[in-house]
Amino acid sequence: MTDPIIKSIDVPCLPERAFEVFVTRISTWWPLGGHSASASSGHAARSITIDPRVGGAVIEIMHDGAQDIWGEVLEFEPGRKLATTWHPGANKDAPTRLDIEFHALPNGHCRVTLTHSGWEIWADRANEMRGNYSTGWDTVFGQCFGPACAV
Amino acid sequence: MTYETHHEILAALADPTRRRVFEALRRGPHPVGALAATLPVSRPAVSQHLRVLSDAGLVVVRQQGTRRLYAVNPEGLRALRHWLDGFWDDVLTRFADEIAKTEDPAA
Repeated sequence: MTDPIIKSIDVPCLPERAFEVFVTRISTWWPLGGHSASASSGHAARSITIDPRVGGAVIEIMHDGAQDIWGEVLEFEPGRKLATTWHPGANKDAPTRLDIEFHALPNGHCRVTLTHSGWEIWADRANEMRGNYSTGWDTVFGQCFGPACAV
Repeated sequence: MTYETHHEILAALADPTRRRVFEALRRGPHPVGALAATLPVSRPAVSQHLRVLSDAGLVVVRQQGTRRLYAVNPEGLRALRHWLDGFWDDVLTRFADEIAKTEDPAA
């Protein structure tokens, strides 16, 4: 077993709004040029869409119009939770899992927590690497998320 | 970790047969012949898949007596995990930027 990758970020809006932006406006904020199947051929993806229902697909439309299916929606609770299988760049018989939860904070803001689990499917030796890999998250949070949240 | 490295890793694992070869190594180091015996592909094909996995940094070869043993390379897996980690940093930062852009904090 391997601990999942867990990330969270606070955003200045209610959970319903954060969920809506995450799901329905994903193409406007997702780094299409850097993080897509299309990007590996040197072109930004055209769009990402999440079909808003359980069983719906997460689909990238590549620069040439071809589709790359990234995952399938497992849970869809507006304002609360989105869960999907996650297998961009690989076939769907070896998916990892993505859980994105939206929690209200007392100040009217929202904490978005992303959990990427199941990636040990690639190899069960993953666990032994954890000790080597404890650096990074806090630093990245401090340097990247802090400024982004302060806007 | 460079962009090319993680791309090579993902590309190497995208092939189902190659992934089976890689997963077979989870049980421990194996010579080519033993891998081929448990998989529905020829020995030359297994060798070719191992070469791709090795080029991507996912597999290492070591000589044990007269045998060449193939094993999972933890460095390659760590590279993949590092990439995934930074990947989600990028994604969430962009998401927060979008919220900040569209939300009026005074509202």
